Amino acid sequence: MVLGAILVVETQSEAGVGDRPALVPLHPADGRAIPLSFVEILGRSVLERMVELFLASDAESVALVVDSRILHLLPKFRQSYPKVNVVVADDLEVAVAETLKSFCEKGIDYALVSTAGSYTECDFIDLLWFHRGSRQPMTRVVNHKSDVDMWMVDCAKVHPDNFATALSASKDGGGASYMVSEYVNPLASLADVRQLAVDAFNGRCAVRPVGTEVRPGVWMDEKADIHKRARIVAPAYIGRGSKICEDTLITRCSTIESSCQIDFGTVVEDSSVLSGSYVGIWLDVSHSVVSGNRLFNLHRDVRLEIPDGNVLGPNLIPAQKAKGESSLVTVTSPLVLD
Amino acid sequence: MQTSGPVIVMQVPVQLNHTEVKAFLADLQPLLAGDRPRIVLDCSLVRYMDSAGIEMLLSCMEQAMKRNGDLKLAAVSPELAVILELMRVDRLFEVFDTTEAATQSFHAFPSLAVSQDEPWYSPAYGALGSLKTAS
Repeated sequence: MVLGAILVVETQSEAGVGDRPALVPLHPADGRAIPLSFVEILGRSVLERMVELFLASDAESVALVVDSRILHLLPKFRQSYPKVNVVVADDLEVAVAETLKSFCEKGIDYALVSTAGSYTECDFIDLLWFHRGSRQPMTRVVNHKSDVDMWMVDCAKVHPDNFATALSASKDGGGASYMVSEYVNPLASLADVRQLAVDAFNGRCAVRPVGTEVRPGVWMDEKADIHKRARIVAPAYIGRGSKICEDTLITRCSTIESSCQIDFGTVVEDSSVLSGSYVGIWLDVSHSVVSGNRLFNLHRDVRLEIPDGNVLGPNLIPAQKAKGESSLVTVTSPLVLD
Repeated sequence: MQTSGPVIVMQVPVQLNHTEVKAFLADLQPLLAGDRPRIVLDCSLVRYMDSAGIEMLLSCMEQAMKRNGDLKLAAVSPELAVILELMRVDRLFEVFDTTEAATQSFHAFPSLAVSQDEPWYSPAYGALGSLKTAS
């Protein structure tokens, strides 16, 4: 039995701050809306973590079917994956069907098809056996708490002609479904993104921070610069190339992603500062997600845009600041895998 | 000496940035000039306030307190609450859920109901009277 995987990356129209729909987190430098699966959590994008899950289940090939409108927003992976290839498509359903066909031609028997809309940890081998026992062309994965857009597909039985029909039938509840009992995060809102980080710290999911655990519960990625008078209280994560200035306090499951700067005296409590953000001096960021000059307060369900770059903003290199340039430290070039 | 002057309730505009601050301050300043200014700022409509607005609030509160008065905030919107917490000034203000509660708080100590000529241990001051009895 040869297993493949297809990860469908589509645009995300809205993502709530709490439970209410709102805008997706915006790119710190230029304000482009990015899907939540592109967001870097604990040093690695959720999308890359999903790819790693598939590869860990011995998938022979992983296809990233990406909506052409968001190809330029794909996050840069921390490492290269020879088994992963990118398929750019305008019509995702057709692209998935064609990919299944190519899998079949390559001798791949079964394919795990999933959207990047939720983060799901699943025993894929158990799912495969369940699917084989059900003798149906497509088995839907369900969860009692939230929707999981994931299917195990028999590549030989599903053709481009009948793919849409089979998909519709499985969505309507036809056939046996596989109930996943492992960790599922719907990634429907920023609260879910924040929850994923907290769950990772508490060991409730397989996500682990990237970097070195410098002391119990405190992780630092490479080239992180932490002032000796900064206080980091476990559990916490400091991302690659980030700078934590003196008299700051980072506490209560806070994550400072890559290429950020937390300036003098600021307290970051139960919050995530997304990649490439600058947080000014003597501020108090609590129960929030910060992306550039945008602050999303999760407790009060409030979204603020701060025009003053000295308070919140993209993290500019000092030389660029002096010149008035606004380019960002973090690189977000299109994904190059092969 | 009797306390004097009513409690003034002023509505803070939706946006209080460096351009709006001047106009708002022009309306607020005369009220701060009096003796024991008692001001409640209704913040229910506020959607954004920048550092100039925060600075204005702090300055006005300082001026009021220098004249033995006070400036309190009422019906703070969620957006303003986040900004005040972000700037770490939320603990500097007395904040009330409604303007009525904020107004009432100025009368919590019944200085108008009881003549200032009464000694502190007078039964009119309630619990303080029992302290005298205990002593």
